[in-house]
Amino acid sequence: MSTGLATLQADVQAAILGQGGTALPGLDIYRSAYRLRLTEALAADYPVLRRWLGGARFDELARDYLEAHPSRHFSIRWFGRALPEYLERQGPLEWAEMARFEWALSLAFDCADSKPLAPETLAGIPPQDWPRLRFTVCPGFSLLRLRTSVPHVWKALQAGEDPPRCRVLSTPTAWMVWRQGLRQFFRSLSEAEAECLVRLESGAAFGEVCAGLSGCDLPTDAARQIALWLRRWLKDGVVTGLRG
Amino acid sequence: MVEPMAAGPDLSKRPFPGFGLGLRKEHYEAVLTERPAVDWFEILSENYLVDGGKPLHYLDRIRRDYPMAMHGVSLSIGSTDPLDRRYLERLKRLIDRLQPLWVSDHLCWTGAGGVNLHDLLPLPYTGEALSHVVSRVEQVQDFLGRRILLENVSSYMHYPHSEMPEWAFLAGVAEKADCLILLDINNIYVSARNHGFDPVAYLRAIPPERVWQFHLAGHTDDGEWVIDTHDHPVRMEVWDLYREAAGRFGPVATMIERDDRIPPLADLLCELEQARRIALPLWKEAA
Repeated sequence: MSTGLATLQADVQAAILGQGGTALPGLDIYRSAYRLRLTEALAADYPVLRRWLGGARFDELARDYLEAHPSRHFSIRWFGRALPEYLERQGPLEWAEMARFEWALSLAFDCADSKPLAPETLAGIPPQDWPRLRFTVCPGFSLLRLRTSVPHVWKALQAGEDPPRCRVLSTPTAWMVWRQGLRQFFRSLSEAEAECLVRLESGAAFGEVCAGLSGCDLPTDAARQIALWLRRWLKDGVVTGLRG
Repeated sequence: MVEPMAAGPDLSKRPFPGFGLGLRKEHYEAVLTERPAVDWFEILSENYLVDGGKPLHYLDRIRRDYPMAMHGVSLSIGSTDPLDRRYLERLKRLIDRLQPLWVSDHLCWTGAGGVNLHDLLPLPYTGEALSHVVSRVEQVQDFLGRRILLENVSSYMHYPHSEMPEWAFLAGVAEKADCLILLDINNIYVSARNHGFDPVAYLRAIPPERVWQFHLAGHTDDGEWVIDTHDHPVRMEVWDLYREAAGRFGPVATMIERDDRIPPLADLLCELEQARRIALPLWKEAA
């Protein structure tokens, strides 16, 4: 392979990244276009975070992030993937959680399509088989445990309203994000429901999910509670099928 | 040693699907409800290398009504990094899904050492770069099982290393790798202004039978640099160069790209009409 060309490309790239390299005539245009383009890409992934921080602060964040995490994927769609984690280390908690929340929404946006499991399919299953049932959860489903009230901030900013003050919570709240049809949805849920969904998603049998439900003394109470949730998960397109 | 020339594509077999537009999400609904008089759409392939959701939903629905060409930005055909197999595999799946008119990308590199700058960086026009690109085009064409079109990029950077003009490089790659050409008329104009060459000399050096598509787009001009911004209507100078190209190359599928400050679909249809008004009389005359 071409060592001359490889050296030249490494050199030009370093100059564009601002890490030395040769100053070829015209290269400045590429250097500034690079920052601008990737900042715009990040803003497209995190539109509400940008609105919340304001353009200037967001651009500064984008510049620092870009330096720490240059894109390594063929598609610019994945450039912003590490921002939540980056903010977890570098930024205030509420920025990190807003980024996690928006990234979950973007994962739901273009994940694989799925259809809800038809209630009729379940109606035909004899009761004795239920404990062994294993369900699939829709692609693009995220369960977040957030220590701040960022989803409320997100909602207000998204609607063009003044955001409420972001509160730090004494205990984390569970939120689920998913897509049904072509629309993304999110809602908060109790820790008990969240635990059940996590187990369901990991492939646990329905009997195990019921047995693991804390706060219910009798297995029948647990089954009744889960049956209510299951009805909602089916209606919302969160549970999409039966495994094996 | 003299090698036999690879059999080039037959000019009489060049498809002419007409006049197209770049498909943009802002126009999805209008395209579906108004069924505008666009002969075909060009899609940005990367926007649809996803698993589902709105992008593929609209793509499939619009594809039912219109032929499509696939235009990529991630092939990085000139990079010294290995070809990205994951990318090529995803691209192939989209090709199977869409059955496009053709598949194009740019004569450029987009990064090295595993980093993607997401820009279309020009190559130094050297013999070394030429053989490098030719071997990679051959690998890509083998993998995809079809010829690809390569587009000339706009350039602002000058490599003192270059041994030949851009047009000789483009023509050389196309002939040696047996690939096709997407000639971006605006990019020729932009680079000609930035580097001070004659755009018509560029056109003259391009083998006509390999040109399967034209791009038209707007640019910004600050006096010092002309930048290929795709955020304005096509400028007069570019229409003039298009007239020259249309006369020289005959019926070539033509489309308008707009990537920023996207106007209502109707505005782009007007612009596309302008392309028809320029090219169709020339092609009728020739026929």
